[in-house]
Amino acid sequence: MYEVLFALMLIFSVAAVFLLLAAQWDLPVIPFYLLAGIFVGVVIDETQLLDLAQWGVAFLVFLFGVHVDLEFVRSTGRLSVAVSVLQAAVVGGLGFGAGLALGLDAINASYLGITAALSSSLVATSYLDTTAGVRPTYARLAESVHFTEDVLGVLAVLTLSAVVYAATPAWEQFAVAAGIVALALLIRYTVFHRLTARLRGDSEILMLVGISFVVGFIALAEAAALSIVVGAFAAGIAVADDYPHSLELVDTVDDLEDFFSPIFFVTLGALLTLPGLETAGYTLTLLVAILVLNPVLAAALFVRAGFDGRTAVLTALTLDQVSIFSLFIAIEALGAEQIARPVFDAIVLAAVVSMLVATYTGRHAESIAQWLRDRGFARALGESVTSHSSVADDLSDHVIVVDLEYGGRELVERAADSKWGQAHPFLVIEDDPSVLGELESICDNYVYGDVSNDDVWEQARLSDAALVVALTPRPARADAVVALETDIPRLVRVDAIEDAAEFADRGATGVIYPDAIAAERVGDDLAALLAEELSLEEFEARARQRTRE
Amino acid sequence: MSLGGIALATDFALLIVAAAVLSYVARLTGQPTIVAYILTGVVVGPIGLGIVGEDQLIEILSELGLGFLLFLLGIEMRFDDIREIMRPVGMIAVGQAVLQAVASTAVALALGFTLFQSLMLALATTFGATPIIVKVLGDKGDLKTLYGKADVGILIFQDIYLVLALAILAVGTVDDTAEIATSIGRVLILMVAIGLVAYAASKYVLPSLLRASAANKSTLFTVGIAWAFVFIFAAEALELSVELGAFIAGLSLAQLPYSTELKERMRPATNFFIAVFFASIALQMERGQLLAYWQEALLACAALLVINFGIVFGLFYSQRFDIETSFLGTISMLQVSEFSVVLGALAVNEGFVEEGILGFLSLMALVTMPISTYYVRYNREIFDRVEPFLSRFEREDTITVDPVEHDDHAVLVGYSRFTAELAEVLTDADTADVTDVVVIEDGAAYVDELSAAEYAFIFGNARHGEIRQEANIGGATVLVSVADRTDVNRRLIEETADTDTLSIILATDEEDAQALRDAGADYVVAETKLVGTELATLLELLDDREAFEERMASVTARARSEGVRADGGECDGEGDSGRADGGEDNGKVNSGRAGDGGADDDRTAGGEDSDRRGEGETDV
Repeated sequence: MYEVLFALMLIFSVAAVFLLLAAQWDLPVIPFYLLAGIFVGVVIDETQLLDLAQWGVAFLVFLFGVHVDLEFVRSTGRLSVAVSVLQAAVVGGLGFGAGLALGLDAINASYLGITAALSSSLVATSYLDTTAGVRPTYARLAESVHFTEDVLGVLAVLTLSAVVYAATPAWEQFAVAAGIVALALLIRYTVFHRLTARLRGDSEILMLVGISFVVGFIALAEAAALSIVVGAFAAGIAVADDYPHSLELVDTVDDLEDFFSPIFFVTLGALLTLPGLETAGYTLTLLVAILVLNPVLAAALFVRAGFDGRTAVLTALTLDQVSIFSLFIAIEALGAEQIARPVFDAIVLAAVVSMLVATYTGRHAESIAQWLRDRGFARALGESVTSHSSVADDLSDHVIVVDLEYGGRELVERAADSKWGQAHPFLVIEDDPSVLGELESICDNYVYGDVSNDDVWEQARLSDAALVVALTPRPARADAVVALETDIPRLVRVDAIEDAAEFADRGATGVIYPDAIAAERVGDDLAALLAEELSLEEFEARARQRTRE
Repeated sequence: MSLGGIALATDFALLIVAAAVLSYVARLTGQPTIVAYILTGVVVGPIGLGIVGEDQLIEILSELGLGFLLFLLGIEMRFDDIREIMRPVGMIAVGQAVLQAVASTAVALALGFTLFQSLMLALATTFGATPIIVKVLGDKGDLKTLYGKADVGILIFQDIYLVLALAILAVGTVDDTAEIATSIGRVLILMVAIGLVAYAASKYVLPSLLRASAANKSTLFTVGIAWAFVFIFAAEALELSVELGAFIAGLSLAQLPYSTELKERMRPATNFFIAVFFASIALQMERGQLLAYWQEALLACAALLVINFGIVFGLFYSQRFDIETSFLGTISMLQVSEFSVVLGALAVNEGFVEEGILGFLSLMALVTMPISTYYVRYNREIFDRVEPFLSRFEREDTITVDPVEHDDHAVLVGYSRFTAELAEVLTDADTADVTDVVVIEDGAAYVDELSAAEYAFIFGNARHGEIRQEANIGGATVLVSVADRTDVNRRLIEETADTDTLSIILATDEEDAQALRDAGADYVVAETKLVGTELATLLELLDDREAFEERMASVTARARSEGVRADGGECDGEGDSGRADGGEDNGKVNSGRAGDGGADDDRTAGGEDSDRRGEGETDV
């Protein structure tokens, strides 16, 4: 007991110190857990914690499974799936080849290949946190790419546990795994709601039910000699992430995961040994593949698929870190004694480095994209502005709206019905291909492209326009509008007082601060209600009038 | 190390599944989960099916469970909540501890136990069962009544008593009295030392430490756990009780604004581990040990109910509580607590008593806890029956207390420009519907500002039931939410459904807005839609250049100023006509709102999908 308590105390204390540093610089937590592990590993015997650590794996994968949104997968379409499969196949193949060239056997080379190919949802856009809100195009795109790669990760784990760790390769394991997932789906759609209906409001028992799902499916997986990752994933599929379970079951398991996943990551870091030359070589190979090859390839594929250069680059920049599933594979392979020690070390090291770099590139994605554009990168990849645009030849005195969402849609719709709208035709600049269809149906003039691209503005006939309105909450896009060198009046949305001052000083004709507008309008209604100028019914009706009239 | 192969401990897995099944059954029959957990060990352990034995993982988690439970108990120690009735409640608690110990010893002796066993039993059976009292009274909405508060107060005193008992038990068996004295002396000195360290930390270190870690949800949690572990380990290393270390660690966090959020984040792990703890108790027991004293246990249960009723009722009455409060407060406390089992288990581990005594205590808990849920639940019905007999004791000049919870208040979920301005409207209005504003916000950036503001401030996320309860959402006059999770908003609306709370919600998009309207919210606007509509109105002036610029200037001026509201509400004219550059006019800054600074200032534009609302959680 003493040893375990000592190990836990050390793990959490060192992790706490590292996390405080991470919080100071606003950095992601996972690489800091791994770093903490390297320190802790000097003192403790981490193998005694593997029992606890794998609960971290189980809960992480379970929650990934819970958050799998089948509707979402269907709606994002095949395009991003195709791109990510292609990218993973190419880079994975290259990684595998490089491993062989470096003298590894096929199994170890395939670990390198998998690690090079897959990136993680947990560090980048983190769709584990799909709260409603602002989701720029590239983030949605990145989500579906990451989702595809995570599924590939589950498949990789499955393949390895069926073929490599098993005494004799057993391809029928795939059928068994499919059966387990099918069972999970069956439970989700037939049993789950009936089972939980009576537990409403009791998160303590719901949590136990959730854990029992994990335990039960992992037991099934283990009985079939499959990885616990497969079982935990199936358990997640069996749980519906809808109201009120999202609050009572999913959130509580989420809190539980916060206890176990540090143990997993710190243990993983503690397993690292002092890197030798061989490890350094593999790490370098992986980093080249992850930090350079993956983004460039993905960006090229996205541009080829018709996305604008900026969206392509921003999406690609979310792919530059090691997947969580590669870490699972590494630790499972280590447990099964099927991985060369230097390869294991290289995977963990590459994870630490790439996750930190990914944070940097994620944070400066916009300026990196701009830097690349200035050097003709997008053009080199074959970006075209005209292919998805429609602009009337005699368009003038028009209102240019940046982005259909965030209020643009309402604006365009209302303009179509009004007198002033007839006098001033609307043109929409949009970079989200998923709304192109809608765009075509509601408005005659639109340009598909990136606002930081001058060609787009030329296409939109900026010099003949009457007004530019940017309701986008994305600072970089609003910024590009403010930075335009033109006398045409521009209205820009802001979400903070300082931005309001800054944009106004830099030449925006007006700034729109939605929170302030909402506060004003709702405040008026509320004041009228309190002063008894409005009845409660009238007050409630006002909310609808505010958005419908 | 076999992560590739069979990895999960089977014993542990079975235990969890059994606990889930039994607690499901418990829920259906209205029983507390603790009973289900203890029964789990009985059913799957050697007494019942014999399919689960003790293993290392179970041992680690149950030890952690006890530690975390005491940690949470420490965090919950907020004397503010019972300050008004501290004195009478303290008298009852002390009186009860003494009188009940005497009575229990006498009963145990009469049942044929040795003096030492009887003293141990007396020590262990003094507690009321927190999970039952808090759970059942909470479900009935009675926790804030006078008798509920008195019971909670007594439980707090009993916690202190429990911690002392744990500390003494941890000394272990020693032979001569001199050694006992030195051991207890050493324990007390070290306890005081740890307590002083904790106190100093809570004054000088913890506020800034937690302030720094509140920026990220994982960080706050990890720092909290690390804090607990440091004390747990220190206690273990000094050969003190682990539970004591955990309790002191929690106590040092209790008075800080982050305590509720931290507690709620740790609760799932604690619930999980504590389930393992209670389930594991019976794992070490043979059938013979559980039933060794079954007749005595049943007799003791009957005696306990009768004698303790007399003692506690008398004490309540002597402290000038009225008859009804005394009666209701008393019958809630009539059961053997889970802590009796905890103390019994520790006493067995330390070699004070044999397993049979633990079996006796477990049996008493298993009998009294389920029964007591019924008489606690139907306490008023029972009181109505017995009132005729008790009414002659009724007297004047009894204790009354004013409710300390928020009342006639507005709750703001999420602090933003929007909620801050609406708070001004609510408090400025002469109608005075709202006497009090409570802000729930988990953005670390707002802590200083909100702590200094005139509003009551709860640090935390509204997704936790405890946070919503602390804000008394159900009793609010007005609810304003900018929470960005629709499920949280739905829960908020549900909790205000029974009352005539006015709910105003700013939704992200129209789909969410419609869902919330359907769920019964009064006033929902989708912000994007509102802005689009507003702008369309603005653009109608596009051909009237002068009017357009004037309007635009006023919108801009408003955007640039800190939450401004003109009296009477119409703000449009404020930006002074013709001032198109919007340069120097910041409008009238309302001085009514304290610490204007950070309402929106702390937003960093970190990537495009930066968190728009304060209420949101920080991404991993």
